[in-house]
Amino acid sequence: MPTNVKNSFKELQDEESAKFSEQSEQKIRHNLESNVGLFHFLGEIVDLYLPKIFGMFVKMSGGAPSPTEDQSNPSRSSDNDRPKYPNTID
Amino acid sequence: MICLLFPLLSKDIASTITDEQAVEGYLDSQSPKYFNVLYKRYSPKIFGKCVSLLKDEARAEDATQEIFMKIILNLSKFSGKSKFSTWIYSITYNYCIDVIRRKKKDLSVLVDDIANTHDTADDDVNEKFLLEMNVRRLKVVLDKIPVTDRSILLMKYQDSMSIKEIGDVMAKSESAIKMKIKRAKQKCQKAHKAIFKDD
Repeated sequence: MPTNVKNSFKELQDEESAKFSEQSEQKIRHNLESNVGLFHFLGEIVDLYLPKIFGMFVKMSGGAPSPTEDQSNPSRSSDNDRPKYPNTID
Repeated sequence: MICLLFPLLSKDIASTITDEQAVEGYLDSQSPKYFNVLYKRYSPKIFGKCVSLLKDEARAEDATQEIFMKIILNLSKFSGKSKFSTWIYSITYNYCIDVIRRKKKDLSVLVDDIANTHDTADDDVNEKFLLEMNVRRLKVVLDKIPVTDRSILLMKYQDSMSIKEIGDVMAKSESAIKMKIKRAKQKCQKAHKAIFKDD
């Protein structure tokens, strides 16, 4: 399509775009910022609490503790075999 | 960093940065300044398209907001295979077509004309006839054809999209799109004849 030919479709676009007022632009921008802010906030909440909630459900259903908990737990079966006071003479 | 040191340079960002750079910048930094570039550049055009398709400024305003929300949420899916403008216009057209279909308000269709169009499919409508039509008349004529035909004509003549790009947006083959364009032009001609028969 040659560029120098009149194009009423483009003229129509310019006409319709001109109806977009500054007020509408600001309003939509403000709503978008609020929505994006809300999404960020919800994302952070999920990031923070979801692993804990998941862990709680695992515990409630009798599942095994996570590896991090396992490391912090001193009562392993191999520990039970050791003498309670290793430095004392029986 | 440059923008922080020289605030005047950051004002110029809108004129120097390409769409793709703005998308990349936004995805990397989540900085609103990049999104503002895209918003400033495309919001009037998207609003204009929504007005053309939905025929209601209040609905077009809501639609523009929804479309930009979709753009933000799906920005990471923009692969760069097509132009950014093509990508956001495809979101715009699909959104508006969905809205109209959902609300079943596309009652302005000239049902009889559509039925008769198949009989005259061999008559090729001159492109010049559409391109040089008076804008006021074009608006009236476009309002009288189905939304999918209207969208296809806007994609071709307003956004200068290729047949392949239109096919991607409408999920149709290139030959199907060529036929749809031809039929849409015929519907425009018929509507024009019916409405402005006295001239």
